Amino acid sequence: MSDKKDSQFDLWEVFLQAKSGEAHQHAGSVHAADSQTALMNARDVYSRRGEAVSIWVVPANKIVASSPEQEGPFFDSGNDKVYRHPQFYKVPRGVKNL
Amino acid sequence: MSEQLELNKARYILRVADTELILGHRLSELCGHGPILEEDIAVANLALDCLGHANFLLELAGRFYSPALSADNLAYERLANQYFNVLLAELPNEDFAHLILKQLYLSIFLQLRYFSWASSSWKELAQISKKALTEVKYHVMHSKEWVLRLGDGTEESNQRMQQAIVNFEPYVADLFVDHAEDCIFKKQFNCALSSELISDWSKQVEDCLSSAKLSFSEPNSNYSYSSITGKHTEYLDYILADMQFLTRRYPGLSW
Repeated sequence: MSDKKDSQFDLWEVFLQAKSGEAHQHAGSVHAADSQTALMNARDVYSRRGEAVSIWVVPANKIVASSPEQEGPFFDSGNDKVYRHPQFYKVPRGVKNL
Repeated sequence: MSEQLELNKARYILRVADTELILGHRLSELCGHGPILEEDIAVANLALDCLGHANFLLELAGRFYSPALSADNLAYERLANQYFNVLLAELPNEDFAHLILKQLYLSIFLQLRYFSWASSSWKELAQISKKALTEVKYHVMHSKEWVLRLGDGTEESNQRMQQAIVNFEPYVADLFVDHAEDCIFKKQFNCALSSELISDWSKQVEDCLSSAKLSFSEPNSNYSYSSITGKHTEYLDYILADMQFLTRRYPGLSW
Protein backbone atom coordinates (compact mmCIF):
# COMPACT_ATOMS: atom_id res chain seq x y z
CA MET A 1 0.00 0.00 0.00
CA SER A 2 1.69 3.18 -1.17
CA ASP A 3 1.85 6.11 1.20
CA LYS A 4 1.61 8.65 -1.60
CA LYS A 5 -0.17 11.80 -0.52
CA ASP A 6 -2.02 11.85 -3.82
CA SER A 7 -4.57 9.04 -3.75
CA GLN A 8 -5.49 9.46 -7.40
CA PHE A 9 -4.16 7.65 -10.45
CA ASP A 10 -0.93 8.69 -12.20
CA LEU A 11 -0.64 12.23 -13.48
CA TRP A 12 -0.56 12.92 -17.21
CA GLU A 13 0.07 16.25 -18.92
CA VAL A 14 -2.29 17.17 -21.77
CA PHE A 15 -1.36 19.00 -24.98
CA LEU A 16 -3.97 20.13 -27.49
CA GLN A 17 -3.59 20.99 -31.15
CA ALA A 18 -6.24 23.56 -32.04
CA LYS A 19 -5.89 23.31 -35.81
CA SER A 20 -4.11 20.86 -38.02
CA GLY A 21 -0.51 21.89 -38.57
CA GLU A 22 -0.27 24.07 -35.47
CA ALA A 23 1.88 23.23 -32.47
CA HIS A 24 0.35 21.34 -29.57
CA GLN A 25 -0.14 23.63 -26.56
CA HIS A 26 -0.17 22.56 -22.93
CA ALA A 27 -3.75 22.62 -21.65
CA GLY A 28 -3.53 21.08 -18.20
CA SER A 29 -3.36 17.66 -16.63
CA VAL A 30 -5.50 14.62 -15.90
CA HIS A 31 -5.20 11.60 -13.66
CA ALA A 32 -5.49 8.16 -15.25
CA ALA A 33 -4.33 4.61 -14.75
CA ASP A 34 -3.24 4.03 -18.36
CA SER A 35 -2.68 5.82 -21.67
CA GLN A 36 -6.03 4.96 -23.27
CA THR A 37 -8.01 6.25 -20.30
CA ALA A 38 -5.74 9.30 -20.11
CA LEU A 39 -6.62 10.14 -23.70
CA MET A 40 -10.35 9.73 -23.06
CA ASN A 41 -10.21 11.77 -19.88
CA ALA A 42 -8.30 14.52 -21.64
CA ARG A 43 -10.90 14.56 -24.39
CA ASP A 44 -13.73 14.79 -21.85
CA VAL A 45 -12.11 17.45 -19.70
CA TYR A 46 -10.31 19.66 -22.21
CA SER A 47 -12.01 19.41 -25.56
CA ARG A 48 -15.63 19.91 -24.61
CA ARG A 49 -16.19 22.75 -27.02
CA GLY A 50 -14.13 21.85 -30.04
CA GLU A 51 -10.84 23.19 -28.73
CA ALA A 52 -8.79 20.41 -30.29
CA VAL A 53 -8.31 18.31 -33.39
CA SER A 54 -5.52 16.34 -31.81
CA ILE A 55 -4.58 15.47 -28.23
CA TRP A 56 -1.26 14.33 -26.80
CA VAL A 57 -0.99 12.90 -23.29
CA VAL A 58 2.36 12.34 -21.63
CA PRO A 59 3.01 10.80 -18.21
CA ALA A 60 4.10 13.70 -16.07
CA ASN A 61 7.09 11.81 -14.72
CA LYS A 62 8.44 11.28 -18.27
CA ILE A 63 8.74 14.99 -18.85
CA VAL A 64 12.33 16.21 -18.39
CA ALA A 65 12.35 19.86 -17.40
CA SER A 66 15.11 22.36 -16.83
CA SER A 67 15.58 23.25 -13.17
CA PRO A 68 15.52 26.81 -11.82
CA GLU A 69 19.23 26.71 -10.93
CA GLN A 70 20.00 26.13 -14.58
CA GLU A 71 18.20 29.31 -15.55
CA GLY A 72 21.34 31.37 -15.63
CA PRO A 73 23.58 29.22 -17.81
CA PHE A 74 20.68 28.01 -19.99
CA PHE A 75 18.76 31.15 -20.64
CA ASP A 76 21.14 34.07 -20.29
CA SER A 77 19.76 36.66 -22.66
CA GLY A 78 22.01 37.56 -25.58
CA ASN A 79 20.47 40.95 -26.16
CA ASP A 80 23.53 42.79 -24.93
CA LYS A 81 25.90 40.54 -26.83
CA VAL A 82 26.12 42.29 -30.16
CA TYR A 83 28.61 39.77 -31.51
CA ARG A 84 25.98 36.98 -31.34
CA HIS A 85 23.55 38.61 -33.77
CA PRO A 86 23.94 38.75 -37.58
CA GLN A 87 23.20 42.46 -37.89
CA PHE A 88 26.20 43.66 -39.90
CA TYR A 89 25.07 42.50 -43.34
CA LYS A 90 22.66 44.64 -45.33
CA VAL A 91 20.27 42.62 -47.44
CA PRO A 92 20.31 44.01 -51.03
CA ARG A 93 17.04 45.41 -52.30
CA GLY A 94 15.06 43.08 -54.53
CA VAL A 95 16.15 39.92 -52.74
CA LYS A 96 13.01 38.01 -51.86
CA ASN A 97 12.44 35.24 -49.33
CA LEU A 98 15.83 35.44 -47.68
CA MET B 1 -56.75 6.57 -39.80
CA SER B 2 -54.04 9.01 -40.75
CA GLU B 3 -54.22 10.43 -37.26
CA GLN B 4 -53.43 6.98 -35.92
CA LEU B 5 -50.50 6.68 -38.31
CA GLU B 6 -49.20 9.98 -37.03
CA LEU B 7 -49.48 8.78 -33.46
CA ASN B 8 -47.74 5.56 -34.42
CA LYS B 9 -44.90 7.61 -35.81
CA ALA B 10 -44.72 9.46 -32.52
CA ARG B 11 -44.67 6.27 -30.47
CA TYR B 12 -42.02 4.77 -32.70
CA ILE B 13 -39.68 7.66 -32.12
CA LEU B 14 -40.61 8.05 -28.47
CA ARG B 15 -39.33 4.60 -27.68
CA VAL B 16 -35.82 5.81 -28.37
CA ALA B 17 -36.38 9.43 -27.35
CA ASP B 18 -37.70 8.45 -23.92
CA THR B 19 -34.92 5.93 -23.45
CA GLU B 20 -32.32 8.64 -24.11
CA LEU B 21 -34.14 11.06 -21.81
CA ILE B 22 -34.39 8.67 -18.87
CA LEU B 23 -30.88 7.34 -19.43
CA GLY B 24 -29.57 10.91 -19.52
CA HIS B 25 -31.32 11.62 -16.28
CA ARG B 26 -29.87 8.57 -14.56
CA LEU B 27 -26.39 9.53 -15.77
CA SER B 28 -26.81 13.06 -14.47
CA GLU B 29 -27.42 11.62 -11.01
CA LEU B 30 -23.72 10.80 -10.83
CA CYS B 31 -22.77 14.46 -11.14
CA GLY B 32 -20.73 15.34 -8.06
CA HIS B 33 -20.51 11.70 -6.99
CA GLY B 34 -18.18 10.21 -9.59
CA PRO B 35 -15.42 7.82 -8.56
CA ILE B 36 -12.78 10.21 -9.90
CA LEU B 37 -13.04 13.81 -11.09
CA GLU B 38 -12.40 12.95 -14.72
CA GLU B 39 -15.12 10.33 -14.76
CA ASP B 40 -17.55 12.72 -13.10
CA ILE B 41 -17.01 15.11 -16.00
CA ALA B 42 -17.08 12.30 -18.56
CA VAL B 43 -20.43 10.98 -17.32
CA ALA B 44 -21.88 14.50 -17.26
CA ASN B 45 -20.80 14.76 -20.91
CA LEU B 46 -22.52 11.46 -21.69
CA ALA B 47 -25.68 12.72 -19.99
CA LEU B 48 -25.66 15.91 -22.04
CA ASP B 49 -25.20 13.93 -25.24
CA CYS B 50 -28.19 11.73 -24.33
CA LEU B 51 -30.34 14.73 -23.51
CA GLY B 52 -29.34 16.31 -26.82
CA HIS B 53 -30.46 13.26 -28.75
CA ALA B 54 -33.67 13.13 -26.71
CA ASN B 55 -34.35 16.78 -27.48
CA PHE B 56 -34.12 16.33 -31.25
CA LEU B 57 -36.20 13.18 -31.22
CA LEU B 58 -38.84 14.64 -28.90
CA GLU B 59 -39.15 17.70 -31.14
CA LEU B 60 -39.69 15.38 -34.09
CA ALA B 61 -42.22 13.22 -32.26
CA GLY B 62 -44.14 16.26 -31.02
CA ARG B 63 -45.06 17.25 -34.55
CA PHE B 64 -47.24 14.18 -34.95
CA TYR B 65 -49.67 15.29 -32.27
CA SER B 66 -52.43 17.73 -33.02
CA PRO B 67 -52.01 20.28 -31.73
CA ALA B 68 -48.24 19.86 -32.04
CA LEU B 69 -46.28 19.40 -28.85
CA SER B 70 -42.80 20.67 -28.05
CA ALA B 71 -39.97 18.64 -26.57
CA ASP B 72 -40.63 20.35 -23.26
CA ASN B 73 -44.31 19.41 -23.34
CA LEU B 74 -43.42 15.80 -23.93
CA ALA B 75 -40.62 15.62 -21.41
CA TYR B 76 -42.26 17.47 -18.55
CA GLU B 77 -45.97 16.94 -18.91
CA ARG B 78 -46.33 13.23 -19.43
CA LEU B 79 -46.81 10.79 -16.60
CA ALA B 80 -45.06 7.46 -16.24
CA ASN B 81 -47.75 5.48 -18.02
CA GLN B 82 -47.34 7.71 -21.08
CA TYR B 83 -43.61 7.08 -21.42
CA PHE B 84 -42.29 4.53 -23.92
CA ASN B 85 -38.68 4.02 -22.85
CA VAL B 86 -37.11 0.61 -22.40
CA LEU B 87 -37.22 -0.57 -18.80
CA LEU B 88 -33.45 -0.96 -18.50
CA ALA B 89 -32.98 2.81 -18.62
CA GLU B 90 -34.98 3.30 -15.43
CA LEU B 91 -32.95 0.99 -13.23
CA PRO B 92 -31.07 2.80 -10.48
CA ASN B 93 -27.32 3.38 -10.34
CA GLU B 94 -26.67 0.88 -7.58
CA ASP B 95 -22.96 1.33 -8.05
CA PHE B 96 -20.59 2.39 -10.79
CA ALA B 97 -20.55 -1.10 -12.25
CA HIS B 98 -24.31 -0.91 -12.81
CA LEU B 99 -24.03 2.53 -14.36
CA ILE B 100 -21.30 1.59 -16.79
CA LEU B 101 -22.79 -1.77 -17.73
CA LYS B 102 -26.10 -0.08 -18.48
CA GLN B 103 -24.17 2.41 -20.58
CA LEU B 104 -22.51 -0.44 -22.47
CA TYR B 105 -25.77 -2.24 -23.15
CA LEU B 106 -27.73 0.84 -24.16
CA SER B 107 -25.06 2.63 -26.16
CA ILE B 108 -24.38 -0.44 -28.31
CA PHE B 109 -28.15 -0.83 -28.77
CA LEU B 110 -28.58 2.84 -29.68
CA GLN B 111 -25.64 2.72 -32.05
CA LEU B 112 -27.26 -0.14 -33.96
CA ARG B 113 -30.64 1.59 -33.88
CA TYR B 114 -29.27 4.94 -35.14
CA PHE B 115 -27.18 3.18 -37.75
CA SER B 116 -30.29 1.61 -39.18
CA TRP B 117 -32.21 4.89 -39.07
CA ALA B 118 -29.37 6.81 -40.70
CA SER B 119 -29.96 4.96 -43.95
CA SER B 120 -33.76 4.98 -43.80
CA SER B 121 -35.88 6.92 -46.25
CA TRP B 122 -37.29 9.13 -43.49
CA LYS B 123 -35.11 12.17 -44.10
CA GLU B 124 -35.41 13.99 -40.78
CA LEU B 125 -34.91 10.86 -38.76
CA ALA B 126 -31.87 9.96 -40.86
CA GLN B 127 -30.38 13.40 -40.27
CA ILE B 128 -30.84 13.26 -36.50
CA SER B 129 -29.44 9.73 -36.41
CA LYS B 130 -26.29 10.63 -38.35
CA LYS B 131 -25.51 13.35 -35.83
CA ALA B 132 -26.22 11.08 -32.90
CA LEU B 133 -24.02 8.32 -34.29
CA THR B 134 -20.74 10.20 -33.85
CA GLU B 135 -21.51 10.82 -30.20
CA VAL B 136 -22.84 7.34 -29.49
CA LYS B 137 -19.68 5.87 -31.00
CA TYR B 138 -17.73 7.56 -28.24
CA HIS B 139 -20.19 6.30 -25.62
CA VAL B 140 -19.60 2.75 -26.81
CA MET B 141 -15.83 3.19 -26.69
CA HIS B 142 -15.93 4.79 -23.26
CA SER B 143 -18.09 2.10 -21.69
CA LYS B 144 -16.15 -0.74 -23.33
CA GLU B 145 -12.87 0.56 -21.91
CA TRP B 146 -14.33 0.81 -18.41
CA VAL B 147 -16.02 -2.60 -18.51
CA LEU B 148 -12.73 -4.12 -19.62
CA ARG B 149 -10.85 -2.53 -16.74
CA LEU B 150 -13.47 -3.31 -14.11
CA GLY B 151 -14.07 -6.88 -15.23
CA ASP B 152 -10.38 -7.66 -15.57
CA GLY B 153 -9.52 -5.63 -12.50
CA THR B 154 -9.67 -6.60 -8.86
CA GLU B 155 -11.77 -9.37 -7.38
CA GLU B 156 -14.22 -6.79 -6.05
CA SER B 157 -14.63 -4.96 -9.33
CA ASN B 158 -15.15 -8.23 -11.19
CA GLN B 159 -17.73 -9.31 -8.62
CA ARG B 160 -19.64 -6.04 -8.89
CA MET B 161 -19.67 -6.21 -12.68
CA GLN B 162 -20.89 -9.78 -12.55
CA GLN B 163 -23.66 -8.75 -10.15
CA ALA B 164 -24.73 -5.99 -12.51
CA ILE B 165 -24.92 -8.48 -15.38
CA VAL B 166 -27.14 -10.73 -13.29
CA ASN B 167 -29.36 -7.84 -12.14
CA PHE B 168 -29.89 -6.55 -15.67
CA GLU B 169 -30.56 -9.90 -17.29
CA PRO B 170 -34.37 -9.81 -17.00
CA TYR B 171 -34.43 -6.43 -18.75
CA VAL B 172 -32.31 -7.10 -21.80
CA ALA B 173 -34.80 -8.92 -24.02
CA ASP B 174 -37.06 -5.83 -23.74
CA LEU B 175 -34.72 -3.90 -26.03
CA PHE B 176 -35.41 -6.26 -28.92
CA VAL B 177 -39.17 -6.73 -28.72
CA ASP B 178 -40.98 -5.64 -31.87
CA HIS B 179 -43.88 -3.33 -31.20
CA ALA B 180 -46.63 -2.78 -33.74
CA GLU B 181 -44.98 0.38 -35.03
CA ASP B 182 -41.72 -1.46 -35.75
CA CYS B 183 -43.41 -3.52 -38.42
CA ILE B 184 -45.15 -0.51 -39.97
CA PHE B 185 -41.95 1.45 -40.34
CA LYS B 186 -39.88 -1.47 -41.43
CA LYS B 187 -42.01 -1.60 -44.51
CA GLN B 188 -42.54 2.09 -45.03
CA PHE B 189 -39.14 3.56 -44.29
CA ASN B 190 -36.82 0.58 -44.37
CA CYS B 191 -35.87 0.80 -40.69
CA ALA B 192 -34.57 -2.40 -39.09
CA LEU B 193 -36.88 -4.16 -36.66
CA SER B 194 -35.78 -4.12 -33.03
CA SER B 195 -35.56 -7.90 -33.16
CA GLU B 196 -33.12 -7.64 -36.06
CA LEU B 197 -30.62 -5.80 -33.90
CA ILE B 198 -30.12 -8.56 -31.39
CA SER B 199 -27.47 -10.64 -33.11
CA ASP B 200 -25.08 -7.73 -33.66
CA TRP B 201 -25.77 -6.50 -30.16
CA SER B 202 -25.13 -9.87 -28.53
CA LYS B 203 -21.93 -10.38 -30.47
CA GLN B 204 -20.47 -7.02 -29.45
CA VAL B 205 -21.54 -7.35 -25.82
CA GLU B 206 -20.30 -10.93 -25.58
CA ASP B 207 -16.91 -9.97 -27.08
CA CYS B 208 -16.50 -7.15 -24.61
CA LEU B 209 -17.62 -9.09 -21.57
CA SER B 210 -15.51 -12.14 -22.30
CA SER B 211 -12.40 -9.98 -22.81
CA ALA B 212 -13.28 -8.52 -19.43
CA LYS B 213 -13.37 -11.99 -17.87
CA LEU B 214 -17.12 -11.73 -17.28
CA SER B 215 -19.72 -14.31 -18.11
CA PHE B 216 -22.79 -13.42 -20.14
CA SER B 217 -25.77 -15.39 -21.32
CA GLU B 218 -28.12 -14.54 -24.18
CA PRO B 219 -31.29 -12.77 -23.06
CA ASN B 220 -34.19 -15.14 -22.65
CA SER B 221 -37.47 -13.46 -23.43
CA ASN B 222 -39.42 -15.98 -21.42
CA TYR B 223 -38.07 -14.62 -18.18
CA SER B 224 -38.00 -10.92 -18.83
CA TYR B 225 -39.95 -7.81 -18.15
CA SER B 226 -41.10 -5.90 -21.16
CA SER B 227 -42.16 -2.35 -21.79
CA ILE B 228 -44.61 -3.57 -24.41
CA THR B 229 -47.17 -4.02 -21.65
CA GLY B 230 -47.03 -0.25 -21.16
CA LYS B 231 -46.13 -0.77 -17.52
CA HIS B 232 -42.93 0.54 -16.07
CA THR B 233 -40.81 -0.33 -13.07
CA GLU B 234 -41.55 1.45 -9.84
CA TYR B 235 -38.52 3.66 -10.43
CA LEU B 236 -39.95 5.73 -13.26
CA ASP B 237 -42.41 7.61 -11.08
CA TYR B 238 -39.60 8.68 -8.78
CA ILE B 239 -37.45 9.73 -11.69
CA LEU B 240 -40.24 11.84 -13.15
CA ALA B 241 -41.10 13.36 -9.77
CA ASP B 242 -37.50 14.55 -9.65
CA MET B 243 -37.24 15.58 -13.27
CA GLN B 244 -40.63 17.25 -13.55
CA PHE B 245 -40.65 18.91 -10.17
CA LEU B 246 -40.41 22.49 -11.41
CA THR B 247 -43.05 22.19 -14.11
CA ARG B 248 -45.41 20.42 -11.76
CA ARG B 249 -44.94 22.98 -9.02
CA TYR B 250 -45.11 25.99 -11.35
CA PRO B 251 -47.22 25.05 -14.37
CA GLY B 252 -46.60 27.15 -17.45
CA LEU B 253 -43.34 28.59 -16.13
CA SER B 254 -40.73 30.02 -18.44
CA TRP B 255 -37.17 31.24 -17.94
